[in-house]
Amino acid sequence: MKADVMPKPQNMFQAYMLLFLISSGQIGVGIFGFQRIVGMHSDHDAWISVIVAGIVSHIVVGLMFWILSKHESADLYGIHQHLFGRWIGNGLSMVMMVYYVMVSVTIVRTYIELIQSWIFPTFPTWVLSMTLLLLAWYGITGGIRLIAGLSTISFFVILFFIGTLYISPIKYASWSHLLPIGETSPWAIMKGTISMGLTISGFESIFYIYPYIKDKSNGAKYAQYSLLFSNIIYLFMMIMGIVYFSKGQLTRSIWASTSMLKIVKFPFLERLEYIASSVWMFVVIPGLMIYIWVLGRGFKRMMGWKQRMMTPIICFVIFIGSLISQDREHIHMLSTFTGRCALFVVFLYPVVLFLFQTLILGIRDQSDKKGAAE
Amino acid sequence: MTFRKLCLLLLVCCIFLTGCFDSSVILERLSISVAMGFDKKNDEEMVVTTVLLAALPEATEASQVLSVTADTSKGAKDKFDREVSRKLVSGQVRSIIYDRGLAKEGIMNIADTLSRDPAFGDMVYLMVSNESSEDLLHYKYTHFPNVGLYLGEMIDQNIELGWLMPSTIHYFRKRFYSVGIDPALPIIERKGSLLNVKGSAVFRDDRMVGEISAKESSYLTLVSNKIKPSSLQIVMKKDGLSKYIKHDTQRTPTVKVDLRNLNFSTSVKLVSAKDLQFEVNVKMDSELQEISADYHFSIPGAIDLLEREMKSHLEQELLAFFEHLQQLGSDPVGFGEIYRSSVRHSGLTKDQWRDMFPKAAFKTNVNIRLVRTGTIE
Repeated sequence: MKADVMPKPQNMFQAYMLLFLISSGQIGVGIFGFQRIVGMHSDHDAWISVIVAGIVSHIVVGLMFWILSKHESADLYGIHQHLFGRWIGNGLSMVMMVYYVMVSVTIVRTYIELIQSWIFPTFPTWVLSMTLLLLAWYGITGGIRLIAGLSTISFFVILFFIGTLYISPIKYASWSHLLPIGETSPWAIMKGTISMGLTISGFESIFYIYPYIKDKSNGAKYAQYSLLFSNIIYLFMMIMGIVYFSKGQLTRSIWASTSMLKIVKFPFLERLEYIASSVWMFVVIPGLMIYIWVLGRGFKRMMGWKQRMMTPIICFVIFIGSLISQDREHIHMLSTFTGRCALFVVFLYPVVLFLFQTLILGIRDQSDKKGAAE
Repeated sequence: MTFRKLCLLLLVCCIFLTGCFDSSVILERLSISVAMGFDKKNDEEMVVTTVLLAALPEATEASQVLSVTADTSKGAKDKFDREVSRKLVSGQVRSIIYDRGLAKEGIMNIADTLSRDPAFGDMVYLMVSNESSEDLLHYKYTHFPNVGLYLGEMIDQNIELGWLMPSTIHYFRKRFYSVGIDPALPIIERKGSLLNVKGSAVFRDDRMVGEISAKESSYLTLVSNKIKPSSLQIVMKKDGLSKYIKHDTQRTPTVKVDLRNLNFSTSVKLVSAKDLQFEVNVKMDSELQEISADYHFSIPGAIDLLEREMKSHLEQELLAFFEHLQQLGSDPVGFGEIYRSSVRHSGLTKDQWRDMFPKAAFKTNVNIRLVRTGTIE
């Protein structure tokens, strides 16, 4: 297998689509409850943690593009083989794929829990899980361009929802909750940043969709814009969480963002949180689809199995996975564990890979030169 | 028919099939609860009262009031189910009433239960009733058909006019779970066949520790709320103003002034963290609506004097109000929150603030500007 992939031109998309793809990969179910987790660590300075996490993500994406730029049109599966050889390279890719399965399971299960706790308490998990995954499967058969199109919808749903619905809670804000700024120790802020891991991850798909970008030189620019967008959304939601709730109240609200909507009221519609959590499916599905698509690509690239065949199998595995954890404690453990893994896979691994690639390519260059000289 | 068309037809069917989901929630088949009352019966049990909207068109009464004895609020729900013919739902509950007995013991448990249940909105008003809420809700009011709806609207409009602090579940929980600020809920009483807001109950954590009058409630919103009282009555001694009073026919030793408040700016600052001294600055532009004496507004200096008198009077009233709160040991204004947010690394805890609050010193600074005296002088 070569490191480079050359997709057909009709399957490729313009770089500006990254603007939607990346942010919709990042923003998903995490946005409903991350305030509590970050707030537990860094109190009223949690927004600083969010900014730090944002900056880190910008740097990591910068590194990712640096790694990719050393190849003509490669994805991570190819790079792994190119750098580490067939066995180790594929082994590494497999580890990544296990992580993506875990993330997909976490997304599905957390979203279902949200629906069950807020709207339909008796709704069986498997029905919702199946609905979500069937939709995802259906979408993925349309290819990456369709996923990008759906991401565009999700982008505007996010923009519209956050921009309109969270105006009312601002009226109930106590801005003094933010003061005094920077009281929390840097260590606590770091811990808060670390707990943002899973929430802010989702941009790792760049490693796989990179070959599909038509104008690759513009990719990095749009990816950074997209990150900036989601970081601003996260920052806004975090600040809202701090000023709308008091400290003790926030640590008790599992879905802080949904709870905030409980006070929004229209004459024709009283309980907006019902609508919001349902419409959020538009935001969750593209994120899920990207992961499943990446998994399917993995089988195609490494084993040569058809993606069309593999997608339903992957969906089935995720479906089974989503049925395992049933209660809150399990789900919390699952997302905490996936969050830990996200730190290594999403944030630390690109740095390590960057170092390895520079080293290995450097050595090969030298030996090439030697060979040429002899 | 082609396969594609069949698929499309099935898909369209699916859209309509969603209507079959959870068909137990149909408006005509529900008993909609609009208010709930909780009274203490004994140490173990409480009396729970609920006001339902009468959905039966042939019913003579517009509301149905039920009471049961239960040990938890969800236990009461189960008992209500045995007394109603239709499914009882609580998504439309507007007001929750506690009697003094329960309020003194602590109501957080019930408030948290309501918040745990997504069926309740966060805009449900909590209040304390002067007598038992069972009596308050069971009374046959002649002027309004449904006491539950009426109560909610009554509190709503009082909050909008700035007479009361917003007393929603969210507000109560927010204050309970934060350091240095305590909740205050309205006290409702029945006056003959009408309802009345008597004042506010102030809490320490979730236990009611005392009550403040309706006037003090408006001072509370004046100092700490976003919506300020729409008007204020100031009762002053006549001596200071006698210079400008034309015909002193009345025997009363006081002059009453009613102000409509046009513009407010209030700020509370911590002046000294060491001495725990707070400065409360109130700036208001007002319109004079009523004055109980024949006052010479046209003489130069007359308005100045009136403003000065009102200022010093209001400053003292506010100081007395803060002292009253210190005596009760409850801080609904949130001086503790101001302390916490202005002192770095204070590490303030609830217990610390309980000890500190009675020792706090206050300075008030009121600035009243009479913009107009209405359409006449």
